[in-house]
Amino acid sequence: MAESTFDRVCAILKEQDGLEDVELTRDTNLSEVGLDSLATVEAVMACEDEFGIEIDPESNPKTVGEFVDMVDKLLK
Amino acid sequence: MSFSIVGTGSALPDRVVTNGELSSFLDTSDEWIRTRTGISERRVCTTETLDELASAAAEQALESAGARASELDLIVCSTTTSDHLLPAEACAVAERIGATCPAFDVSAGCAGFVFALDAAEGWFARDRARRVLVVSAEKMSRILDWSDRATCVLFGDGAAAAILEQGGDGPLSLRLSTRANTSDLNVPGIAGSSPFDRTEHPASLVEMRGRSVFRFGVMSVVSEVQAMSAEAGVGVSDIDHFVFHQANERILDAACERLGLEPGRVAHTLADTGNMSSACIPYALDRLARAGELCEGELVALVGFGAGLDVGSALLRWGSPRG
Repeated sequence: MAESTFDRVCAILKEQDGLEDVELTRDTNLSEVGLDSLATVEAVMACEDEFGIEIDPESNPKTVGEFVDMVDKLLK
Repeated sequence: MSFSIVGTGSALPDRVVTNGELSSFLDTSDEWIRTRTGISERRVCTTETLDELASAAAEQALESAGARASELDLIVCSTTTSDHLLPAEACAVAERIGATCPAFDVSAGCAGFVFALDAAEGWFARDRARRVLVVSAEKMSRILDWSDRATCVLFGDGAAAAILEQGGDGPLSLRLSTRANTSDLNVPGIAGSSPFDRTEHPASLVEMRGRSVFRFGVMSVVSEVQAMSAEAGVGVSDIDHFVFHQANERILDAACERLGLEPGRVAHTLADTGNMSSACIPYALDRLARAGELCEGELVALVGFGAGLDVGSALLRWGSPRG
């Protein structure tokens, strides 16, 4: 079975400094686990490469769930 | 017809403003600024004018090139923060250093130095110049909202210059592009006092959509390095030094990671100057040159990016056809 968008987004988020061992759920607040606004852009850029999509750079998802939904919407 | 850089110079204002000092009047901290930008301190003009800084950088560059102001055929200044709307900053430099050649400014945001190199290259190509002074000078402190912690901590003031001489086999690549966009990075113009004017006049302060500019910066550096390398027919691994616009250490990190560049080949000056707009690239070149790190024949890649959204890149062979 193909990896879900959630798993692939989480794998990208975990590449950011300090997030390697953090448990991520849909409700995880990105800033609370130390992902600041620029780190979010870095993750957005990595997702663009991973999924072959273009994301509005000003989009600023607050939770892992919002991040996954934003990617899923663009994949449709 | 080609050119080489045969001398460099720079000048910064005396006053150092640390992150700690900014924390005394902004809701920020040294740790917050350093981890998000890589900046520890910046220089800010107090009694210095931009004319003085630009002229001091120009004189130092002339000295290092062993040239006199009277031998210049052209002065191009890149600035967006001149002491005067008229005349051009380049004219003020010409007056102070005693040059009699044509002098004008280019406005291309943080990419200004490379745009100025391109203007100069045209003069060499048309055989109208043998020696050109390019000087980039920025007093960013005058266009900052000092109550906005998201922008004012990023910038600093300074000037840097280069003397170009006709000859040599460079630049191996020189590329300009504009992805026209006036909203991501913008400083509104002066309000004036026309009794007829009914348009809006926000203050002349930096407005920036940080996330968009961050991504634009990373993508620009990556794509320009690849394009220059292809255009010049040299591998990225054959390029000895990379001097990118110094906007944010994390832009540099993200771009270098994508390009697979070792940190030692990439110039880093942000920590003690902040972003000096178009002065960043020539300032980094001057620091490398004065540290003896630029050797004859080495390949140096420049990428400037900023408001416009303008991107300018150049692949230079370091060294001097003194003639």
